[in-house]
Amino acid sequence: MTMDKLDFGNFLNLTGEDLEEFNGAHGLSFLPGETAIAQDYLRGQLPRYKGEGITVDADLIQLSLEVNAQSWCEHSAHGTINGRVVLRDYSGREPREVTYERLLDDTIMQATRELDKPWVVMAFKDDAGIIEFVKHNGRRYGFAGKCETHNYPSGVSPFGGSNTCTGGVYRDIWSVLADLRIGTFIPILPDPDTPSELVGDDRKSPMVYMTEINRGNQDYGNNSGVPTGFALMQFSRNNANNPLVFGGAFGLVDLDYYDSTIREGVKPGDVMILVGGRTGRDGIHGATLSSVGRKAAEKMEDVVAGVQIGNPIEEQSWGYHAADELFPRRLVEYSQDFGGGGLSSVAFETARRTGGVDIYIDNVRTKEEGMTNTEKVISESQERQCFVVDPSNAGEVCRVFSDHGIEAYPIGVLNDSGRARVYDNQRSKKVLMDVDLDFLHGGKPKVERTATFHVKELPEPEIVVESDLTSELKKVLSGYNVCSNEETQVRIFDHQVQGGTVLPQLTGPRYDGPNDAVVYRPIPDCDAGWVISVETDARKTLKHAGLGVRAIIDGAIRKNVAHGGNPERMTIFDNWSMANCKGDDEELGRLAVGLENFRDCMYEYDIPCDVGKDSMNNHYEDRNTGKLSYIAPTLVTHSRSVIEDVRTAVSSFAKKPGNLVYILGDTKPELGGSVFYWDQDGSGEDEPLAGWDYYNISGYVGNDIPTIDGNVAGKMYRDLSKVITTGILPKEKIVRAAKAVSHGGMGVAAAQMAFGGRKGMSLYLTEVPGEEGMENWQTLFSESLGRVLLEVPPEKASEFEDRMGEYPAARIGIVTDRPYLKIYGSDSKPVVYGNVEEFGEAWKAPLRGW
Amino acid sequence: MVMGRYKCAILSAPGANCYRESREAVRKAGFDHKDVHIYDLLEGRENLEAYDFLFMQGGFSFGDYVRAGGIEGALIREKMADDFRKFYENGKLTLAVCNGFQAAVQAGLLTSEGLFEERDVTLYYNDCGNFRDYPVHLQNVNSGKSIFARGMDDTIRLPMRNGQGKLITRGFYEGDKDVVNHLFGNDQVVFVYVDPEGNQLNPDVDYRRSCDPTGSVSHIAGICDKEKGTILGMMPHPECAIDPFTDELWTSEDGPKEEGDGFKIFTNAMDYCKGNL
Repeated sequence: MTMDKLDFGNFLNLTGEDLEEFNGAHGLSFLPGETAIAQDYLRGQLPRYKGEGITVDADLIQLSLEVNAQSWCEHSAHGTINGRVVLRDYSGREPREVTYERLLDDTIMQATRELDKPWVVMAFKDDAGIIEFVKHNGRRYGFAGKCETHNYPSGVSPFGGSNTCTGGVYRDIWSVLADLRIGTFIPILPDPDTPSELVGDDRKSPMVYMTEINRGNQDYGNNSGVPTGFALMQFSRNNANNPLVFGGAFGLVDLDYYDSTIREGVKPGDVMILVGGRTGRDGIHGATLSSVGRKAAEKMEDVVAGVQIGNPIEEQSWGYHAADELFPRRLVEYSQDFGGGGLSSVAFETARRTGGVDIYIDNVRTKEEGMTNTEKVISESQERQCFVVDPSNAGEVCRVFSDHGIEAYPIGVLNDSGRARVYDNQRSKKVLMDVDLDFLHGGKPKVERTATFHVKELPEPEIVVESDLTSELKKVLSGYNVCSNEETQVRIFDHQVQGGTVLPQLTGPRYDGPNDAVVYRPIPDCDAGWVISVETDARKTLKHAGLGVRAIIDGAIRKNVAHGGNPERMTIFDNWSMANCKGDDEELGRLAVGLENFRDCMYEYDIPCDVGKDSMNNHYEDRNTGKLSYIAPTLVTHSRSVIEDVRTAVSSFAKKPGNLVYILGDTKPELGGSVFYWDQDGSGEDEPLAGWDYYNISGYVGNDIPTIDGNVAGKMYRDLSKVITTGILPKEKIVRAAKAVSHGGMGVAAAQMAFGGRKGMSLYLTEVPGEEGMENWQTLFSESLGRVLLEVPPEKASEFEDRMGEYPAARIGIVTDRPYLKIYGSDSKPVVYGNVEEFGEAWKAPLRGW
Repeated sequence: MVMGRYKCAILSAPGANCYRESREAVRKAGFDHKDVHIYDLLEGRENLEAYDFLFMQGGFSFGDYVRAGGIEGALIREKMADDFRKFYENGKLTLAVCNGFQAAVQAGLLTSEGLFEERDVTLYYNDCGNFRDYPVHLQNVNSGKSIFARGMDDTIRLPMRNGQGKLITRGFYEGDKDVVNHLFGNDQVVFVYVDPEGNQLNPDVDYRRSCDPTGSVSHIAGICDKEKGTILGMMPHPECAIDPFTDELWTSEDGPKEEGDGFKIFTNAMDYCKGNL
């Protein structure tokens, strides 16, 4: 009889290529060489197992291997971003080489440590970042935040994938014992006109991605009663096969409770309680699958089984009652959510707090009969949370949940044995797995990689425009990356439930003037609040990952400040989605250079980063043609800050005829990566972007990516923030409306302010500060950084000019009663002219019917 | 719960999710309040008798599976009808908002014939086709029956946040207008959707993306019970319009209002309690 090489019982006897075949056949996702290390480890344990009377059978080997693979996979261990990287950068005049021992740690995390802000409570630890928020009624409150990506599942099953992205990031907030308050949602999708030949035959159409991915967040967020305070969509046909989904969540923490629990509280003897949904076969292998890159699936049903389906009512029930009843009574010491990797990840991550754990697997309640022990351990079924409690509180915690119809029961006990052990139950205590914790968390060989970085000269569009730019401006307003997301996102997401939303995303007399941030008040009788904004711009990172990152970070900070955020109590989040980082040195180079620039910005703007989450395998290999397609290097950056008094926040819509319009910041002919270039026809429909095989765009990127000195901009934003938050009532305010100039340029921002307020605006391009001799279209559509449009009452003009006098700022026009947008060009003739309703319609129409 | 005079039970269920603004609204109006879970009522840990004001909050009770408010409504109708009837007959107050309104009509608390009579009003999928979070304008058209709407003359702006807020009456689409006529005739119609200037909506205009995304029969947004006017059911959220700084237009040139447009409903409830309970 020949040996079955795929039988777990024979694993310890395999050698050479059989090991790798075994790895692939069981979907373990070990990197080359790691399977042998896992085998060596188990072989080395045999004497100990024998001595302790542990039976070594196929089940024990399978469980040990699955747990091992799960804790070492990219999704859990983040080997690329935590690994050693030698970066060779050929983009400058002289090549440079720099070595990072741990890429993320040596860049962003180090910068946060060195900035050493005393108000950063928790950065890059556990599930969310926490900053100090306010002292109120004798309590110290913190502001927790996190952004999660869920790309692979959303590509396979758009509703389920985005649904569980939202559910997962909510659990991250509860996991730091915070009271979840508000979320954000940012999908990056193939544009609706993406040619079907770019879409793999196992992918969904762009329309399905857009509707289903947004419905996923609608279902989870609305049903959970968590407002989706800010939503943004961006489009690129580089995402034809790899839609990206980013979900943010924010919560309120009692810092005294936090100090006495998460910081110090967990001890041997504490009980792990599983709360919420039952464990099922849905979501087996989610973490390991998402770690291998996207190859067109051979067995689709396997992949779909890896995507979980959410049940928000279940999660909301335990999350709400935990935050409302258990946290205030300080009954929970620590918490972890069941995300990628399931029980395996939760139990053995939590065990690091004390140095060991015993799990009793028979306790786990299942959705269906006949689940194996391995399935129970690695299932990623949603809506489950682990609460670690003192044994004396376990009964009370379970009672509170059961009174509300929620299942809660103990599944294990923490200890300091150094082992991750799984037993069947407390009575027979049969050992099903017994692995050293140190091996699980420290046995993975360090990933060592070389990264290279080049910047290529890209084709420039030939711009031929009429002297009248009205139709060009309408075209930019109606481009998919600028146009209104009101019908596709804002209105279908409940953004006001729980009554804390002070400044929603859309305001103005017809409720359609777009703000770039949400202002939220978490404590009803306290005026302090949060300002949350998001920026992303893969058009610019496509040309140059480093400069693109700088543009994104500047935008995220500026959008926040424009509505009242305080850059002196602000952090930014680091959320990357990259293509083939494991297999392509150039892609890793883009990530490394991106991280370097992210780090530099943190120092320049003096703003720390406290949490991140990355996704490294967003490429797609067509199963018929073998063609590889990449997403553009994508960074989504949240900025979140504290506003001392939410009543000082400023909205974007134009307020009063006769008020002056100022622009802050210089305008230069920087149109590289602009929406104007991107929406030009012509680099050849569906042709790959010249020089780069893996990308697909229909317009242009160009080369002049905007740049800015973050030291100057950072100081300007600190001063601007104080000016913007001066006063509460209209007559007290210096700034009556503010809009960051971002995607599409200043024409877009001006039109949005004007139609948002149903007022007119007359603006003069010749007054705009910056580079001399620019064409009208360059001034109008440039995406130079550091710019904000501001509406200032004439009686406050001198105060404004005094306080912002050291920065480039100019009076460029006036708000008018007659609702017409008039923009005069260099020869004093109007280059843009029309009723604001026309511009509003151009902006609102494109995605209205979706 | 702090001991005070008038007590409000905020009814919760799995999926109820307007706890914070509901508590804040009744607290500001002077009520003592407590979250009362529907399981607490079913299993006898709580009794409605201890309360003066029942606030059926919004959310997605039991996931709105079966139909919006269906399971919560069925539990009330089938398991707790006597308690609810007694509560009502003692002159106590019920405010049912959004999902609470959906549950109230499913329970039979709000019909054109009286408490727990045959259900002839329901709430159905919005004409706009999906869930919608949008500021709507309401006018009080009640002639005095509803104690909650007394003294509310001006157009008020409240957020609507629902997917199934289209009020329809039995037989309406077969041409039978008896029920809707009864509702008006009994002075049970409390709020109707109007345009931002307070004008009645024009029957020839499509308001699905503006003034009335629900497409309700006669643009009805809220109704009260037939006998006493002590039960009010409405789709938009008054409890989310208490604080002037959550109004959609507080940053406008008019500045923030004195108080949110929904607050009067809660002070009316308190005034009623003071005068009658």
